[in-house]
Amino acid sequence: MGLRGKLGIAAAGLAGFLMVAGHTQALRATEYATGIEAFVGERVTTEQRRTAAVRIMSELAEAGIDAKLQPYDTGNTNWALDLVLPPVSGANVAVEIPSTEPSEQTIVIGAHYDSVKGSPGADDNASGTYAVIELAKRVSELPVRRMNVVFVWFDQEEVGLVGSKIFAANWKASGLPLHSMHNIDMIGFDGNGDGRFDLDVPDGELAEIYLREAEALGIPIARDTFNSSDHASFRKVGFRAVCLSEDFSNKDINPTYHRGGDKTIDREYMQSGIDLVAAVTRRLLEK
Amino acid sequence: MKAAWGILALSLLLWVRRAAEFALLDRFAPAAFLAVGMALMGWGVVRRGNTWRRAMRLWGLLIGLIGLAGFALAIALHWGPPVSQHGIESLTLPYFAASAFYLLGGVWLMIRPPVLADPADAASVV
Ligand SMILES: [Zn+2]
Repeated sequence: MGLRGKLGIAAAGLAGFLMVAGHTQALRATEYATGIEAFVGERVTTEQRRTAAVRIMSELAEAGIDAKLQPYDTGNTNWALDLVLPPVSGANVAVEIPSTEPSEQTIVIGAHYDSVKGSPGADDNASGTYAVIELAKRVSELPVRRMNVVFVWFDQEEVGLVGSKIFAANWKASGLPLHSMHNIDMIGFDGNGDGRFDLDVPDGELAEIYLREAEALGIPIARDTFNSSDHASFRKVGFRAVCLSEDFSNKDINPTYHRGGDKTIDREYMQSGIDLVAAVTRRLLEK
Repeated sequence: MKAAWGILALSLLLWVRRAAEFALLDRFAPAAFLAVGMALMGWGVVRRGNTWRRAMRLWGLLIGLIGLAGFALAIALHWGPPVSQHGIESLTLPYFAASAFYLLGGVWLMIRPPVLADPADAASVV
């Protein structure tokens, strides 16, 4: 074999080795933080998102709730990119709070924890991330739960509802029943101070319960329909899904949406959103 | 030319790996690409001679284009707007090594395809 041949084989061997080595990514230790502040800050890179996921798990662990990372790989947004790029990787965080008596049914409550590039993502969606942590804590303390409740924090919502699509597809494939999915996306801004939320809820039992509980709590509601958040992934596979958001339909939208200025959360407003979903969940679990 | 055989073998191996990796995720574009390569190979092995060389040059062209696409995408991701975090994070040493291998290996296969014994030659020996 000539020198060129040997060099060719050596180069080919090196290329092969590098391709394999590149797929082993180490999981780095993350700095510890607590409270809602822990979730404000860009969550775009794999490392930023993994830090947020670990913080979600730490927050829950303090309340004795043992959530797990659910890593996934999936295809690229465009099939042609599959010819050049590696698969897309991400990780949802999830935990099941089991029913207090045997039940086949499950309620899923979720929010995405990633953000867009250049935005600290306080309203979008540290507010929802924190809300779902709070809800998990409250639900775990309920004396009676006639259904299982799965809490899930979705990855990569901002790049095409990726995490929720995987989660919903896996649930569908499992054949397990799902009572309903409740999504919380952007509940940290109330510009006009009217306390109103946007609610995308299918007509029927769920809408009735939401509206009744909102009324009892004195929370104004605007009914709306949109498919731009993670609840759409569940609808697509045939599950009932709800989304609670700030008042899009009355144009009371955070002016810093997807921008660098999305650094603050209207806590009182967020708390009332948490109270609403908590009340609805309690009602559903009592039935 | 042994290097050409090495390039051919490694390129097929890498595509088998990619095809399997994505097929497990229910994505079949890489498998389709590999199938085209295998069809070319089969066609060349059966017909030999010029057909084999043509098949090799076509495979070289295909992987060369993949290598080129790899670099073009890297340039777009680096200097363009931050459209894909996944894309940006994929621009690793292995990514560039693979793109360079496809581009150079593809050109090599087009210029000096591996030599497959011609059935005519084999017949004349017997
Ligand atoms: Zn959002």
